[in-house]
Amino acid sequence: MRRVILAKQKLNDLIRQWVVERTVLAPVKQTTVDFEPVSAANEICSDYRNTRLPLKRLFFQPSEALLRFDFKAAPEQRVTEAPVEARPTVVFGIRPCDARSLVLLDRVFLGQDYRDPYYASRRDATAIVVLGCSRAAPTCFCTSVGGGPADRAGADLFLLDRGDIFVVDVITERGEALMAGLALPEADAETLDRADRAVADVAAAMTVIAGVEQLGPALKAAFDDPRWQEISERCLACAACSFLCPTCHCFDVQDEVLDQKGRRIRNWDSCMFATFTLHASGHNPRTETMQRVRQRVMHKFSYYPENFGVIACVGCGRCIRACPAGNDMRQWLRTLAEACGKESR
Amino acid sequence: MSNPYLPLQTRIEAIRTETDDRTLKTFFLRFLRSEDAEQFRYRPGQFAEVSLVGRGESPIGMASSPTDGDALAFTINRAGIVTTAIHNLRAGDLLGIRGPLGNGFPIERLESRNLVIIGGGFAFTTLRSLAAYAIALENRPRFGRLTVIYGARRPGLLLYKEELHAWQARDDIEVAVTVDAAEGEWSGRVGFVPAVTKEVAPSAENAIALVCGPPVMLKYTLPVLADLGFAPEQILLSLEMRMKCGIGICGRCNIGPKYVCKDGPVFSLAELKELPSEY
Repeated sequence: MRRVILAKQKLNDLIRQWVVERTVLAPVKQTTVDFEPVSAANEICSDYRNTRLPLKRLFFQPSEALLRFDFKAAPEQRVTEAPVEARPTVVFGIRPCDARSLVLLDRVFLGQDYRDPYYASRRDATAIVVLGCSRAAPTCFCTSVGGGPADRAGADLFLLDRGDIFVVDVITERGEALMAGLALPEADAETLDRADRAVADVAAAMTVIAGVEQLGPALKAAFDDPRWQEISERCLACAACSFLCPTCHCFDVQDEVLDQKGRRIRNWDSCMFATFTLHASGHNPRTETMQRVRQRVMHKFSYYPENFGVIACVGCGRCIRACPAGNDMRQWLRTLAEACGKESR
Repeated sequence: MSNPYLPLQTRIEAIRTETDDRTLKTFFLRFLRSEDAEQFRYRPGQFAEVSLVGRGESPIGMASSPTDGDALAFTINRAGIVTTAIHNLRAGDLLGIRGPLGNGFPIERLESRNLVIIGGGFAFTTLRSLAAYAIALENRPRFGRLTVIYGARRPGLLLYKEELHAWQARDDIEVAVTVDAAEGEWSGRVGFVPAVTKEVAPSAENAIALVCGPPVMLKYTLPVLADLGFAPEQILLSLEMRMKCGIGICGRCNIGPKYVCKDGPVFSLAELKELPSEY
């Protein structure tokens, strides 16, 4: 992996080069800061902790057609796959937590036995340029869940902002392809040392919630602990957390028909909704909000880690900012860690 | 890899109404394309998402056994929007299939063992597939003694009546059919499945019990098996859950870290005891 210096005045050259054949998405400040297509560096917001929305919607759309139906067609042509538009894209300025979330989603959508072609074609067409964090937001807790402001997971290029220059780690082949045609100087040891230490300081300044990474198995033993009821008292089951979460991936599938044509679409869904697990027979394994809160937390901190070895939360804090009832995942984790500590005594 | 969301088209060859209240019908399907038929290799205990384009999909266990020939059979209960629409179809209509899905019964584990197959109500359908598979000419020598205990609330609700009758006449399989309450000309057994299991008293020696049925039947049958000496590893169950994708991605059908569509629907009682009891 090579580490080079990119002067900030040169960023525009890079963007203009990319824009020729690719869509470039970068954080743009309107009423909020969110990813928008840009064609010049000066359109990019330079002062943001993170975007309001995570980027999962780029690969796993809130609502997308999977299949198309044509009831007038011959039987073999009645059902066809909906086409996926996967224009080559560069995402510039995604934070390490959100890039990491894409790697976590990959484990779900690109499994060993089944590969989601809709997610896969968009993912294959997209390059990820991560911008490491210079400051944590008050709601950030990435270092408690295995991530950090300098986490390179999911990055094709990884940038550290050093004032008038970026230090650029060219990590993957796709990253190399993005830098083609630009002769950039290799970074010297001193610059690298100062850059790495600055971002390490950002990580060190963050409060760590103790024991989150070891919670997995302990949470299973604490399945019936009364604290689950305690933490879910104020939950409205509105699912705002799920929709703003970079790693939540539940979806519903519905068929729609108008006249002789139709489509099968998948829509974002959430385990927080009361009818999420409702059987046609009327049986529902999770009727209480507490059960659904427990499911959501266990999925991220116990079940997914059991299956894939890592926590399915990146500590971006969006759930904390979004919750209309003032619930705070960090407080929940502290309460649950307490419950687990108690169990093991 | 092919698109796992794309159903393969089949044509309904025949429909057999199983129960006198018409809530259960068996649909016999044949793939439109021979390549699809050739690629669809399934095991008893697996299921498929039966896809009625324009309405939706339902996960239904395979009632046919691979030894039955090319046609696939699904016994479908009319429960909601999609299954009601499927019930309104006729022979000659098209139906989509996605599958085979799920783990199915662990055939390798069942070889050389005595199989005790216990079913209640319409949960019997995938057990029928396993029983048919085991008594097929080429397969019978691979398994030990076969015992089937199957019950329904009343005679009019029994599935596969003709086939069960034929099986009762065979001497390579023991079949005990029972009803909770007799009616009409019923001259067979009367009694709940747990009670009949106790009467039949299958030996746990070198045996595996495969049990499918409504929660109340399981609640009373499992202790009977325990009393007969069946360890939790020797009891296999097939579960159901609300499903959508059927391939472990949409997040809906999990019990703890396991997805019923992908890691199940067949679980041993020992495995279930490790999972949260939230099903």
